Amino acid sequence: MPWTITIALFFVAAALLGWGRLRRGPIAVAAMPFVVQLAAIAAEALRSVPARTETIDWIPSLGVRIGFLVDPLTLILSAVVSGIGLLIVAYSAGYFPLMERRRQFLALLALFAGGMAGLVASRELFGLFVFWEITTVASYLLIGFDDEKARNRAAALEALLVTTAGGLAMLAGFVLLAITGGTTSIPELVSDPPQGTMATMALVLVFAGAFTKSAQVPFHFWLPEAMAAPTPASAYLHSATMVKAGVVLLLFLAPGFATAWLWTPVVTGIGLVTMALGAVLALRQTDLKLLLAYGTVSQLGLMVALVGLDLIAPALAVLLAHAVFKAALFLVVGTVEKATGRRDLRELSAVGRALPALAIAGALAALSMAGVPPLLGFVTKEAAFDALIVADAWLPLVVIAASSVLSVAYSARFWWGAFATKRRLDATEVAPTRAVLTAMPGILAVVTVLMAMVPGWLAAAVGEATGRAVKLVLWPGLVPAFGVSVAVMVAGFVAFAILIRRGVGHPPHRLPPMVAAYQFSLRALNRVADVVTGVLQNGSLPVYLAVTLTAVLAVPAVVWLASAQVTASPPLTNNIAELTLGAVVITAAVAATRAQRRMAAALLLGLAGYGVAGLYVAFSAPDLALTQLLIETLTIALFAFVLARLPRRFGADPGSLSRSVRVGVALFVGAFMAVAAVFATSVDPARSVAEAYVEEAVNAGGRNVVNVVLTNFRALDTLGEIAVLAAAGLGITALIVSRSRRSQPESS
Amino acid sequence: MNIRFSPLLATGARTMVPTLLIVSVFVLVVGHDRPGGGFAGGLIAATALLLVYLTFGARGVRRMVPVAPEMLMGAGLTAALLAGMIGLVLDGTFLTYAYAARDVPLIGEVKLSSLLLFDIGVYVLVVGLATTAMVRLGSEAQ
Repeated sequence: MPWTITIALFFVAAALLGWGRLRRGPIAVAAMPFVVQLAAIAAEALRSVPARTETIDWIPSLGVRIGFLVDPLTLILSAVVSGIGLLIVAYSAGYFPLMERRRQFLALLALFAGGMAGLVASRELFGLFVFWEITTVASYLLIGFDDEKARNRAAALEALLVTTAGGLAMLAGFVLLAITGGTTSIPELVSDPPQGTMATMALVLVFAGAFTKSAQVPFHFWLPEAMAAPTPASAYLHSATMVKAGVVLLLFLAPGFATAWLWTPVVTGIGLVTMALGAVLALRQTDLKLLLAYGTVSQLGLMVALVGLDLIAPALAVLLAHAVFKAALFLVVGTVEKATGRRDLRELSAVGRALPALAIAGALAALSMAGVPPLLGFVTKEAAFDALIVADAWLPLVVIAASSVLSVAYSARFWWGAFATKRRLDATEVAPTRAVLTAMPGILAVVTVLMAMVPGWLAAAVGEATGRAVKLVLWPGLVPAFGVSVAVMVAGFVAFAILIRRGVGHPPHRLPPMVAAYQFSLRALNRVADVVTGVLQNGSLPVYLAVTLTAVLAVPAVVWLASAQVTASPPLTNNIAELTLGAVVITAAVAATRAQRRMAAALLLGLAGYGVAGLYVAFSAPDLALTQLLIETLTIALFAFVLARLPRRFGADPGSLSRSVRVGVALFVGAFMAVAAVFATSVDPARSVAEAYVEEAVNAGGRNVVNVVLTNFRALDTLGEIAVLAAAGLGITALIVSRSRRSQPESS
Repeated sequence: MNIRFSPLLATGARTMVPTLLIVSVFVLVVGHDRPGGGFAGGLIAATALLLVYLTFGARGVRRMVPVAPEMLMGAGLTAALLAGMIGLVLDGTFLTYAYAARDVPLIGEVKLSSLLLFDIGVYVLVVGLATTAMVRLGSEAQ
């Protein structure tokens, strides 16, 4: 089955679920695309054919394509997306008891999964960007899923703004890469990476996208806020999959760009700082979900740091292990919260006794996070230490080992906080929960054990995916890396013991500096917008009109007059009818400016318009004449509607613009239009496009050139114009409805 | 709402309005070859509705157009977009029209094109806009 179809199925499921007519079986509908993709992955893996690409030309004129590469790397990443996704779908059946909420959640989840599955399979820059942003939007909707709380909406907006800002920078980087590299295909870019300043700029911009998405310092602050999302969404998006997108993108690019001079310092530098900071902050949290969120920040830092050192095989291994144990831990928190209504470790006690199965699953996952054998977390972290030692990267090794000590401590603290019996607290009341809420984290915990039992198989898969050999073993023997692991574990548990004796402490009250900076910039933006709006939208129609007309005069008029040439002088008049009609138009126009009553002015304008329609007839343009007549009629009627509510006479007040300014602008615009008309009629007929239009119109199947122009040659313009008409109509309705709501309660 | 019922206007409107509507559809259909088109046709229909408004008030217009006028605008825009999508699906290019001509006995050559759908969209939207203005602005004015 083509890979494209397996990805499209996610969106089909999302549409079916979002449509809202689905009365039963949302779980089955949501599970369908996940199952199909898992089957496709299995089929591809068994067939073991060489990598193949599927490309869809999306916007050929711009070279924009959606392209999927089905290779071992795609298969592994897709397996994470679909495998964990399927468990989340099942989990949500227990998490959302209300059918309607469950359906809404699953619709968004399927939408996200489609974006994510597309992202990890994409190897075309712009196709990847589109899927990237689909995940951003789905994440926004899921964080704000409980949309009645203002705090949740703010958190959703924060995540959206931070990741979209990075995403836009990344798009600019992609454009630069495509220009300098001459291709939009990532494999081609990687095999022949562009050099020079432009390419470096491109890389910096791409980093901005990767770092915001993967919550690296200084953009890490959105991820803890994103914990406002329902816990299954946090488990899936904000630990297992979406936040890995930045790492995945760097994984794609590393084979070609890791030799760029700024790759290692920037990527590894940021990664190490993030890992250390995340670990420190994780230890200070008392909310279990926040603890895990900062832990995720820390682990993402580890992956980024490894990719920065071009150690992509260990990075991928860590990514896989993290996806499994962190998803399990989030689901554990979700179940604890469902059962007790709390997730603050200062309030939970003796939950482990009430929920022994969940406690065991949590213990396995937490130990995996701590890197304790014989679990997947140990196998992969050991591989990372080993690779760092082989690469002689001592500074990163020290930072990573030190942060890992803290990881062990917060892992222990997590399990202790969630399940242990605390002396000073009464046992927390535990309500019964559905079995699926325990089973799903249980399955993930078993996976973290089982995968550690087949390290050779995993090493082969990761090696095939990255093209680099990686050492993944359950029992490494007495090598230096194992020494580091043991030291880290011992130090970590000692640190935890000391921490417990000093009490659990409180989370910091002060606003983190990056959150303060984000909030300040948001407020500043609003203030600037207020000022700009106050200046530009001051509510005076004469000012709007004057500004618009002056702009017309200032730019196009000057440019056009400077380049135009009079080649023939048109006759002043052809016949007496024109002269008469012209006189009528002029008289009506002058009289309109002198009119004292509004309605009289409107009628005189209408008269001028009818006169123009007459001129069209004289020039044998019945189409224009017909339209002009009808428009004038309706305009007068509309004037009548509006003028009924205004004073009958024009006021003496000159308004916000003095009379002389208004007269000046009007005269200049009128003079320009007159000159423009003379120019237009004096164009050399040999160079006119009119003949071509007439000829082409017949080809287009019409004999009415005006209509053919409107509906064929300029159909898109017409579409735009009628959309503007519709918007104007809606504007009328909105204004009137909001006015009548304010003045009186709706009766009719 | 006080209805100023004018027998003269009412009698005139009863014959004029259907005539105008028929003319508007005629103008719409022949638009590609002769003066007219969706925009002009829509405007003629709008003047017919204006006549209804002047005679029977906003209530009369509402009775003639039983849906919310905003719905008409949406329907028009949708039809025009749909006409564009037909080209996208059949030809790969947005707003390229599918076209077929058949000789029908007694009537002669009948041209059928998704262009007509586009023009119908414009027509409906213009009628919707005029109706919106009358129903919303007009009803408040009285």
